[in-house]
Amino acid sequence: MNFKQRCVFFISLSGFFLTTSLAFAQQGKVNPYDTITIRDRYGLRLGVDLFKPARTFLEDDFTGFEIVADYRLTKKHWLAVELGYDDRTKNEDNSNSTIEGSYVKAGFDYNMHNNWLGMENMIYVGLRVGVSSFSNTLNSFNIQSNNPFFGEVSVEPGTKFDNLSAAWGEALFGLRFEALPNVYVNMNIQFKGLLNNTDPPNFKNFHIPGFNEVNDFGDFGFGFSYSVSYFIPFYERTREKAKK
Amino acid sequence: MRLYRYLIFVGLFLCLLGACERDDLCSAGIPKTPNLVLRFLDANITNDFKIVPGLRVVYPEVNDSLPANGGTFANDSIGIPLPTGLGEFTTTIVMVKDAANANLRNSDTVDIRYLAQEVFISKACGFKNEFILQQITLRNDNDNWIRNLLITNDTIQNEFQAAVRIFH
Repeated sequence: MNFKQRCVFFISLSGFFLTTSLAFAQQGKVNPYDTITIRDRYGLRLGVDLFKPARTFLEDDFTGFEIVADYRLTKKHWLAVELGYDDRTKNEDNSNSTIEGSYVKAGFDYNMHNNWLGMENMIYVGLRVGVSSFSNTLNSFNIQSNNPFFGEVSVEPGTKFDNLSAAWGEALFGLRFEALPNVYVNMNIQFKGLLNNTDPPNFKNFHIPGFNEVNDFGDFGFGFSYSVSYFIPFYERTREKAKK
Repeated sequence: MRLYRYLIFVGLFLCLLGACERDDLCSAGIPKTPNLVLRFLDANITNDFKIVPGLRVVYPEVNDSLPANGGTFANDSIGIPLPTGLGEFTTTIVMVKDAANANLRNSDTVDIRYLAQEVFISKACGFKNEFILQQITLRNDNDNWIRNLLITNDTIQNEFQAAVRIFH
């Protein structure tokens, strides 16, 4: 019997006890179901994002990584933190700039999934607050004219703007499942809203580390993460039984 | 399994996201580097605009001239492009009066010294130049049709206002 079959067996068995016990309960006997205690594992999950290294490998103009961690607070709540680094060159139609910096995101996840006994998968929603510190280097740009008589002139100033920062909030939706014992695969999509952004003088940030692409038309953004993490159990806690 | 069904949905959603192409193209209506607006006035009567017949503007540095009526806003004013870039520039223009008539043709050479600064427009459009006119001088050729030049607006950010008045 594998783990899943054991679970099914266990649950059907408890179901059997439940139905039979109802018959006996009225006769003042102990309900055997009450004797089953559910113990949840609590601890820290540490991992790395695989999406960013994949992009680093596949795209010439991107380098990045992200470390993820979460810590179980209650039966359904997890404290979550992500630390990352982006180095991205944005080659737009009329400008080329490189944004480089690191970020931290912190918040919590709420598990909406009711696990089978003994399983610890998650279908979750989460909230994060992110802050980023970065630099933006304007490598080159084109000068556009009302009269194209002289053609388009391209200049390469290479101006570096340091000490830029941004803050944003995000809501995320994701899945996390135990692929191997204590090894979790996690993926989520993030919807972000920019709260604060210091643009360089006379230029703009087209990318913010952790926030990703900045649009011309709005302060919202998207993100995606695919990470693998390892669960380090710290302690177990008996789940409180539902009151009859 | 239920989880895998969710994974497929998430995967499909991501494919849709990836299919969204940005469409922020630079529109032609957005003001870019402004032309230098020259206004022609009568040298004898103050504040009276005066048309230059058969005007042609030649840039000897690039060996090219503006197309006929290229950049003209009205008969008594013309918007001419300046070479763009960063820093200080000096460019020479030759203004030919009665260009089509070999007997009356008269060419005057003008040197324009200016500063070019970059100004960010948008992600799609990139940058434009704004100019600060420093000096505009007429070369004396003993038969100048231009009598005098005057900078009236040395900071050129748009084309709403004439930058140089030319008296003839």
